[in-house]
Amino acid sequence: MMSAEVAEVATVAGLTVHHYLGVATILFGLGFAGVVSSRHLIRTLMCVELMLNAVNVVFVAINNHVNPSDLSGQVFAIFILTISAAEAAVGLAIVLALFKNTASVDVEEFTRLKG
Amino acid sequence: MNWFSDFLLNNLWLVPLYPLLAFLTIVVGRAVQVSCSKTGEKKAWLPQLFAPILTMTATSLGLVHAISAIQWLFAQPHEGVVAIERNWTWLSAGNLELKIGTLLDANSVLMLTVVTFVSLLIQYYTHGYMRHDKGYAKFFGYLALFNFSMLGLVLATNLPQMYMFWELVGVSSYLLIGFWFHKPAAAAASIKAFLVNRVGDFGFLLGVLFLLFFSLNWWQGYVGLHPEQALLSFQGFESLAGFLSQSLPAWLVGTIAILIFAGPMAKSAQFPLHTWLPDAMEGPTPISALIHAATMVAAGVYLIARVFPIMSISPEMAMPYMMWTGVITAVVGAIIAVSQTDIKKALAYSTMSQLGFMVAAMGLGAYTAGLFHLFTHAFFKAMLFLCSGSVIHACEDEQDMRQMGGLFKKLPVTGVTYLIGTIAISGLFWTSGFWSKDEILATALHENTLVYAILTATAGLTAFYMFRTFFMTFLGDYRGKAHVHHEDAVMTLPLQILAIPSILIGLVLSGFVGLPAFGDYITYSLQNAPEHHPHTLGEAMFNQVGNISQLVALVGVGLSSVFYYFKILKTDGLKKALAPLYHLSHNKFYMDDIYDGIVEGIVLLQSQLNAGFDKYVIDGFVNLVGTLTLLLGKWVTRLNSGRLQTYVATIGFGVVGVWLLYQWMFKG
Repeated sequence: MMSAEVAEVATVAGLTVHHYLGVATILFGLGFAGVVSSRHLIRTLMCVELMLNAVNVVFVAINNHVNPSDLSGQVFAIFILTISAAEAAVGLAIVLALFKNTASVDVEEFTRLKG
Repeated sequence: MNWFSDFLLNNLWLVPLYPLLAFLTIVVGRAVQVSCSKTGEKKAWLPQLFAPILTMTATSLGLVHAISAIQWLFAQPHEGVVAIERNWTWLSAGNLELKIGTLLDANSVLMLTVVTFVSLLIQYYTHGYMRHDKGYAKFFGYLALFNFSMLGLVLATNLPQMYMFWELVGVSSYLLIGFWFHKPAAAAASIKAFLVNRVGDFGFLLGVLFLLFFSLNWWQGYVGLHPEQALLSFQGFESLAGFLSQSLPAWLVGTIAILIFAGPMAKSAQFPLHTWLPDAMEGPTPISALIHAATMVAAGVYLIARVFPIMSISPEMAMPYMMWTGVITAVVGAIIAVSQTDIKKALAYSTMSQLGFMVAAMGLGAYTAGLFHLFTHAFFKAMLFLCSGSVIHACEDEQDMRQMGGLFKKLPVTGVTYLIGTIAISGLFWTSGFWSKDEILATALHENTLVYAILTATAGLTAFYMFRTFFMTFLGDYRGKAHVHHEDAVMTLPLQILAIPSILIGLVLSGFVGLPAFGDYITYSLQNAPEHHPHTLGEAMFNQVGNISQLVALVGVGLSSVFYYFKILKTDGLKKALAPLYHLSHNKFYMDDIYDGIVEGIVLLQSQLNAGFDKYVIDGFVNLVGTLTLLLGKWVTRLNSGRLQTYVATIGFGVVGVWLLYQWMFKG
């Protein structure tokens, strides 16, 4: 039922919302895989950014698809960008502090939170 | 003067307020003074001076109200006193509104007079008795608190208000019994008094709640008709009794009446809840006279009088129950009193016995006779206790009558007034006790011959043990070691004043000297109940009963003098001849031992069992749950590796897992 509607609202370039969602999913998966597998803290942070941007893509795509006259999806994306910038700043500050104290950015070494 | 008495009668709410203000002033004043004295030394002259003045002023103002109330009562027509009721809202919850107010009718005039008059004399006496006590000012504060509670109880318009002041009276009694709390016996006695009264008050509270439960709708309709009246107002009890006897089964009405009667049973020291009263004699003697002889213990009888319509609609259950409780109390009290050697204990058991007479009178339907006996008893028993206080004071705190004797020469005023009190309580020579006791006996003869015989014999026993105390204390040779002081004028003045009503009040209100009889005013509220006073029973019968009871009392006096004055017969022989009875009497019918046995054998055992159950079963279960949670938590923490990747992976795959599960459960 969804796909029938989606086909009708195809864009000029022939791209449907499916393409956007597919890209976002791949982007999110890559980010997730990066967070899970990387040992370098900076890389982990970058992967988190990747996941956030995947969400942004979904927001914009779904908004355009469901109600193009409304811009709430885009507004959300802008907000997420802002917040992710702040988050990156804080995250980098934490990484910096960690590095100063331990001379390491290896995630595997930071296991002091275990119960 | 008219506007003045109008003011007094219309503002009866002031009567309890005066002593309350006195109490608060004394308590706050003491606290301020103690906190102001930095060095800890208490300069006590200020409360020493003001506490008695404040308290006695408050009581005197109450007495002024009482006197104008008496005038008001005598101006009323005999068969229809129009009571004055004033109410203020106390608390309201939804459509339930409890009120607090003042009710002026014959009953409250009676009690108002007794309480304010006897209180004032006893407060004056206290000044002599407690002058050298460290807690002098505090004692007057407590006396004022007691007066506030008692006057609030007397003037109560409705049952909930009465219940509240009833408890307040209990509290002040507790405080005053334990006034010398550094004595272990006094501390124990105050706790015992409080606990035994709780047993009775619990029944009383249940009775009030049941009464309210079964009649709430009716009451609200009734109060709607009479807007000036409160919920459970005593004025409406007669109509309520009519409603209850039609709408409820007899056993339920009887149960409610007996539950309410549990309150008077404890407060008026009825068997088997009497054990606190003799122990309460550990308190200072003015307290024994005021609270545990004249006023508070009589509050139980007063309550019965107030709820009498409810009692009288249960002639099969509540009335005989009351009657037999009273008769047993009268007999048991008199028998125990015979073997007591402590003068105050003997008087305490005599009080218990006389309260038994009053309750028995109530149970017989002799409502007015019971109240009349309450009235006369208050005067002569307060006087007897004050005499005993004077004796104890003179003998340097010796209370054992075996260490007394021959005190008549040293204490002539005390001796004469004690003799008057003894004659009055024995019902001899047309003194006040004669009239009230014989009204009870005449009713008993009319209603139940067995009860009459028992009560007459008890009256003889009363004369026996009361004269025994008189002979042992005042006649013969002095047997003690303490140096006997002279009596104190401050203490003998109240004795002389109280002697007057002790002799005359019965005759004056008997109806035989031209003045209206006591019962003429009291019976107004009981159109349904049978009236029993000398006029309806007939003068001939009354004379006959009077002659028999005087004869029996004289025999009692004679026997007493044979044993304790002339010593023709030795008491040892009597003890041997009546060994079982003597042991029963000497050991107070083993009531304290029975209670100890019950508490130790049943209550403590049960509580140990409960404690074991609580400790091993309940606590065991709770601890098991706690231990299991702890173990589970320890196991789960192993998942908490501290590796960020593991956490993220768990979250991510967890979300996917939940989504898949959702798909499988609801879509698939």
